Amino acid sequence: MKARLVNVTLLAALALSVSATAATYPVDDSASQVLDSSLRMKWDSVAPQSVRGAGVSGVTTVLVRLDTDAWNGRQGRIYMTLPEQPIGQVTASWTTHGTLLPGALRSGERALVYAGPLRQGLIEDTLRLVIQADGQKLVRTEQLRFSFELDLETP
Amino acid sequence: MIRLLSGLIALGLCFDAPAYVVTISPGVRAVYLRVGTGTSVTYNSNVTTFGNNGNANNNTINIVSVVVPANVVGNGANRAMTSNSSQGTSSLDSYAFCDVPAEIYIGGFYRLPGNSGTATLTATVPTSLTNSSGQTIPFSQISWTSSGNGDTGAQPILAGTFTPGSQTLASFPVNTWRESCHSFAYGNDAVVAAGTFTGQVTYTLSAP
Repeated sequence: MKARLVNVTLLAALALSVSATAATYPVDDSASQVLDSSLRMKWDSVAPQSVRGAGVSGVTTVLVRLDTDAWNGRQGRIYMTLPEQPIGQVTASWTTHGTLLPGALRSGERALVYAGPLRQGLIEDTLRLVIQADGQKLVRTEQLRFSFELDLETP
Repeated sequence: MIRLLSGLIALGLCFDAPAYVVTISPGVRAVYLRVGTGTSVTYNSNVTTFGNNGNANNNTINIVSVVVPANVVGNGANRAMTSNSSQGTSSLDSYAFCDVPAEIYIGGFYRLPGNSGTATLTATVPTSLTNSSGQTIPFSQISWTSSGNGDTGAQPILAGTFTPGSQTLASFPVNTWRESCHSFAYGNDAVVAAGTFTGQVTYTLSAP
């Protein structure tokens, strides 16, 4: 029994070790293109003092092109990220044409947009991106820098 | 050691990660004022029609009037006035806030990205009301009380008496709704000639 316990402990330790060494890589999306990259945000409601009164929203389209050539033949999970913003929480939600996953993320977090084999060297899709922010905190132009990162699965 | 090195390289690359950039700019400033009959703008309204480069223009000018019987002209007893407004609901939430036609709804807001700023509500008041013969009644003969159904405490747009010129009535802090119902009265303090005396007061909400 004691020997079995030792084995289980070793296996657990091994599993933890594998997880801890899973690498995350930035994905080159420099070929991506934002249509209407300058968004005049619109109030979510006409009047102040309502539940939705302080929110502003904007919609744009992003042609996403992810260069995954360096990992051809591997399996991975790609996430879209948005750093914390000085204007408080910013939420992005999107729909896709099917190659990437639809989803949503809040600033400071990341969201899964792809999971599977990396075969073609380039992953392309079109996102309809909806951005929401606090209109009372958004008092000047701000830049939201979205990026992508890859969690490569171990072979 | 090799694993550690590759980890550091990956970490270093993270700082140079490319990104697509979306530039967002603030929502537009807006002021809204309704006096009596107006285009109602509740928070459920379609934002494409107002508040984002739209407008809620309404050209209606309401009339507040009173008929003073000949036998009481100039007796000093206030005469309640009534209006031709049929719109007593709040523009904020469609609540039946004012009792029409006795009261006139006055309300609006000043919307601005940020938390500081004030809009000012003023009335531009002529010196007097005049009849077709050119005889006059001072506009200061008209005063009003302020209330609102369901309200307690002081009204945001206080009671007062018209003062000729530009008269400040209230301040609207940014991103708040202000509304009151005004009931007008004629002072009836002097004997005046027979006739219909008219004058027009213009209310303005202005923001810096």
